[in-house]
Amino acid sequence: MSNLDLQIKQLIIDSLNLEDITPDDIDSDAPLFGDGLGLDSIDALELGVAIKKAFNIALTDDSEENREHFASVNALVALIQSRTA
Amino acid sequence: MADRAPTQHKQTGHDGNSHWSEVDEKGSSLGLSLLLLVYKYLGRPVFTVIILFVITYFYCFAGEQRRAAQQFQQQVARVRQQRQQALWKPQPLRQFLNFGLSALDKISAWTGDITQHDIHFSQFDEMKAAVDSGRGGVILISHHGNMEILRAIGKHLPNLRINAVVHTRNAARFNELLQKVAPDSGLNLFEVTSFGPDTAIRMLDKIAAGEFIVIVADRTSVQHRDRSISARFLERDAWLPEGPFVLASILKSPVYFMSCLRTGKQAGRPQFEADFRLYTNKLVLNRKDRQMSIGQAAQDYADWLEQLVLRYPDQWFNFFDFWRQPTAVANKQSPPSDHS
Repeated sequence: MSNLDLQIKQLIIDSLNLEDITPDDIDSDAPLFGDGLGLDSIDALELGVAIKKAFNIALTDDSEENREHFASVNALVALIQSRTA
Repeated sequence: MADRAPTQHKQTGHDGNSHWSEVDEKGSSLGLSLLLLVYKYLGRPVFTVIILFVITYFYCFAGEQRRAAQQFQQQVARVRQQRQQALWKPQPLRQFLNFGLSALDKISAWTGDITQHDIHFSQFDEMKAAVDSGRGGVILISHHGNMEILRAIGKHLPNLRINAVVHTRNAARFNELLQKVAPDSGLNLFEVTSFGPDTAIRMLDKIAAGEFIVIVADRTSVQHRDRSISARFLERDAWLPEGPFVLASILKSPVYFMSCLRTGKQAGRPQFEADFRLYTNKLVLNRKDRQMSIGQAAQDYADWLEQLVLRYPDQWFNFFDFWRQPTAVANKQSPPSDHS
């Protein structure tokens, strides 16, 4: 598990108050929304705000775009790496 | 508005089933700038006559709005009777005339003719404390009464910075006029057409600066009708937008309810009463039952609105079927982003 991967998982847990989940429980490849971790659209907003604050990455309101960025932990890692490179 | 083609949006025709955004805001087609000139040069009495004439004209020809007002007035009458309050005689025309009067009062407020002495505001000190605390907040308002009157109060709250959330499709013209009439009013119109992380962050910045986000919470979202939540209002199920409550929870700031209603006249001057109350210091939506917690907040708002509406039914400025279920609610989906 890379450092960024762990950091993002911790951010998801903290910003969404997922009390009974640890970073090890989150599969980096699994979808965050719907079937996977079961997050909803309000979680997506919370998470978007948390990511902006933590990594200073601007996100648009475009739902299609965000759907891709927020698909999985790996997708978020890729986004942050590409924007902060 | 004249420069918009309402026919494109009308799917349901003239049977009283249009969503509020499909109903033309007939008041704005009057040409607010022209009215302002009339008011300035001919005075309030002449202006009043013109307004009453125009409103009566609309009353006769705006069938859908008239039927909506009739339905609303009858519902108020039923509920007042059920609750053994003073009987109410449904008179939809009065609701139209009050709408006209409210336009007049708005202009009087802009020009400074209505002062803080005309507004009974027992929670002024609470509001001042909220403004000076620097914590900012979300203020939920409604289309009942006339918030613009509070401009007269704003002058006495130098630290007050208001960001009014608007759907500019119906507000663009008003926007321009505001800039002309009151460029340094401490009022910023915050345009929201989509709601996602970017908008949330821009709003969070405002809150962090101690500013207030003002949202009208009694009309369902234009683009996202599936984002509606039901609440009991005057003994029937009405639909409110989820957006304001979700937003308030994301912003994690205090949430207030606010209104300003006309109470009558004194020595020829219109009198008003303002209401400002803290709803909660932080709105937390339970992750495990999101719909229920949004519904609870919506119901609290509806209850607050209802008691004011029962006192002043004529100042209800929602001229559409308030209890109609937005078409998309039935097949609700949860896309992973873009909440409105």
